[in-house]
Amino acid sequence: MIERVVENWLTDATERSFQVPFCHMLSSKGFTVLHMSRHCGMELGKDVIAVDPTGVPCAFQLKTPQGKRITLSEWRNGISQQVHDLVTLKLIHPSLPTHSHHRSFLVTNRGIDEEVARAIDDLNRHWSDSGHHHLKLETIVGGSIQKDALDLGSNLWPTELADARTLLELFLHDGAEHLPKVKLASLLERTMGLAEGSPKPSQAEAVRSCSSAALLCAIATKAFAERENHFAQIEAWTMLVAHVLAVAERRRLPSRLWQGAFDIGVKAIHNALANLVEELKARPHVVEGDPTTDTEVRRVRTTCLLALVAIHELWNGGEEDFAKRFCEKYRGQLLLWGESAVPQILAFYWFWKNVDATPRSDFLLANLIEHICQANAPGAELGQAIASPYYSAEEVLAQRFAVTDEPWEEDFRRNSYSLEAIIHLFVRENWKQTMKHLWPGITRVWFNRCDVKAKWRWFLWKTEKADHWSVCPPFTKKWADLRNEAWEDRGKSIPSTLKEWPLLALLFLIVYPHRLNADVVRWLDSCFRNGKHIPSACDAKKAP
Amino acid sequence: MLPDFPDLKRKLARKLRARMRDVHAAHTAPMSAAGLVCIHEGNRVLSIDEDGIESQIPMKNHRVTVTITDAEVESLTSAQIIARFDDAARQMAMKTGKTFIESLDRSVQSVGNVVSYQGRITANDLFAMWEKVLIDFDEQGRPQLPTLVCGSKMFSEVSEILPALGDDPALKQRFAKLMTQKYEEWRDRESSRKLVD
Repeated sequence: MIERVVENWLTDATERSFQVPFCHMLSSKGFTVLHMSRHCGMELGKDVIAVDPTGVPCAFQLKTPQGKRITLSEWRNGISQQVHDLVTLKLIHPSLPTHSHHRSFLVTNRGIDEEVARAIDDLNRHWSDSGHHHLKLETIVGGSIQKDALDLGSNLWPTELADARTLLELFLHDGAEHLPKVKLASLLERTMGLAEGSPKPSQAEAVRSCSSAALLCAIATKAFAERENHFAQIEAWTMLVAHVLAVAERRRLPSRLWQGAFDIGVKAIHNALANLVEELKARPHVVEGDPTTDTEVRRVRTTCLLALVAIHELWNGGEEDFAKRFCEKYRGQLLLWGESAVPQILAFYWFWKNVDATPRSDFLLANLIEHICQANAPGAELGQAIASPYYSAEEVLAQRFAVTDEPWEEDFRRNSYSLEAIIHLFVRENWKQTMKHLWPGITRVWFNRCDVKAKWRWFLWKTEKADHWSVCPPFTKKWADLRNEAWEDRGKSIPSTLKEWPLLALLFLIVYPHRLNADVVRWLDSCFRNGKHIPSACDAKKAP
Repeated sequence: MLPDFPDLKRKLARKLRARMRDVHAAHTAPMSAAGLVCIHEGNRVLSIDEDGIESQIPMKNHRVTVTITDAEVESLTSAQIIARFDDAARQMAMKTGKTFIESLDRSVQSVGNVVSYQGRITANDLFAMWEKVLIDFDEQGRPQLPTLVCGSKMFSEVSEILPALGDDPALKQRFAKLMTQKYEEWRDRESSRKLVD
């Protein structure tokens, strides 16, 4: 069954959707991937740039033909010129020496017509006869990619019927909805030996499982990639990267063993973010799908978009005016629809704070505190309480619009998972008098959090090996003590592998909102204050 | 397999579960009025109260079984099946209610917040109980008196005492005095919710 799914995925895949798994296949063969194209106008002229295990730079051009094979007409109408550039033009990448020769590959997930194979052969012979022995076009076709995919994944992929069913459900998904994160998490955990009760894999198995899971992730989320559902792709690759870090943390793997899989995942996230921003730039509005019912969900979408635009801008070091204009236009639509939205609102806050010199961003925090304290106060209306971060936007909206068969039993009043974190951010801004005004309301809401027992479990969707804490804020509190608490920023609950990646940690919280707690938020805030958030993995890499 | 209607039956089962929840709630009142908090992950629940006292809340698994044998499965009517689930919900209510009371008992015993009486409960015993508990007041200053959970004997005895609090001048005055005291305590408590320098 797995073979058929891989075959089907590969046949239907586009250049966009098989690029990331192709990179993972390269990585598993010892290549170091330096660059992945976003398939937009301005690129380096090559879809993938990598360095092979012997240190030779390689350039890959990915092509998905219209039919089963690249035809002579497709070859003549564009591909031949592109591969000519691929082979003859120097590879320009900061990590590569400018004088080095490179290997060139035309990669297709389908096949190549005999006439095209002949044309390639002629081209290679022409270069060779002209004395340019280093110029040569190599080909990788669907059959060999499929074999590599099966070699990489077949013995690690789910064999249990339930898992295979989950994979199929994801594979056949419409792709327009939100990513079914619980299902994907379950697949990744099982594939990577992270599920509760599964034996600890050997180091070799653990390393191999990272690339294998990446391929599985690409196949499972094919529909979302084809729909260009950027947020779902961001979520999927963030989940994959989180699981790679879980394996690394659990097995205490040296970074050289997992960095390749991790970097490709991060590049995929960055590309999806950039594609989302490009789409937003080109759109006249943020309405999606049926406009007659969109009003009800638009603010939830806008809140998410504000967060993603903010993260993209923080990632790129604030180069563009678009993010500022977009946030200015839509910031009034931020909505605390549930505690799952808190990481999104905080992402916007950290960006906006750098842009807006007024105290408006601080008072966004004050408004959040006031809103949570009012909505989740013991005497508040049950249906108005803010849902815990264990509930997604779809679940919250379905309850709000009464379009669910089973109304919730859970009472969210008296509790909050994010209140303490927001309080600490606000206290850091030193608004003492406002805080004094807010404090009585705060004491009526208990701070909840989940402390996992081993740090690698932090990356799991849910874990049994954890302590659930409910803490009542003391009725009387000293401002000095509160300030001391608010400025503590060691981030002791955060896995060490994630600590080099504040922006990824923020994205992780957006995907796993139930992992947000005061400790993580304080650490993140310090990173953003100190400018430690600019990632390094997408920067130029040193060639081996 | 034989022809079936799984989707429809899932919806019916959902209705049955909703009914069970209602029956359970009716038999665990007033405990059921307390909000339901879900623990979505973890295997230990710990808390720190407003006084900074840490405690672990023990988790207990309760289950009841509804058995339908092959011999009766064809002859059971819908009403009989509903009756069995109602009974299961009542059994569950007994178990969860018992756990609730036992847990409450352990908590109050541990801090000595207990009033004992011999024979028949009196107004003095009721006053002694109220003196020991925290009483909140609403925005109009009306006391939010705690709910009494008691057996049938105590219920009839208390039912005789409560009207006297409004009729007997001495008891009325004592109750008013106690409520004034409780109001002061509540106000002090509420006033203590503050951020200080």
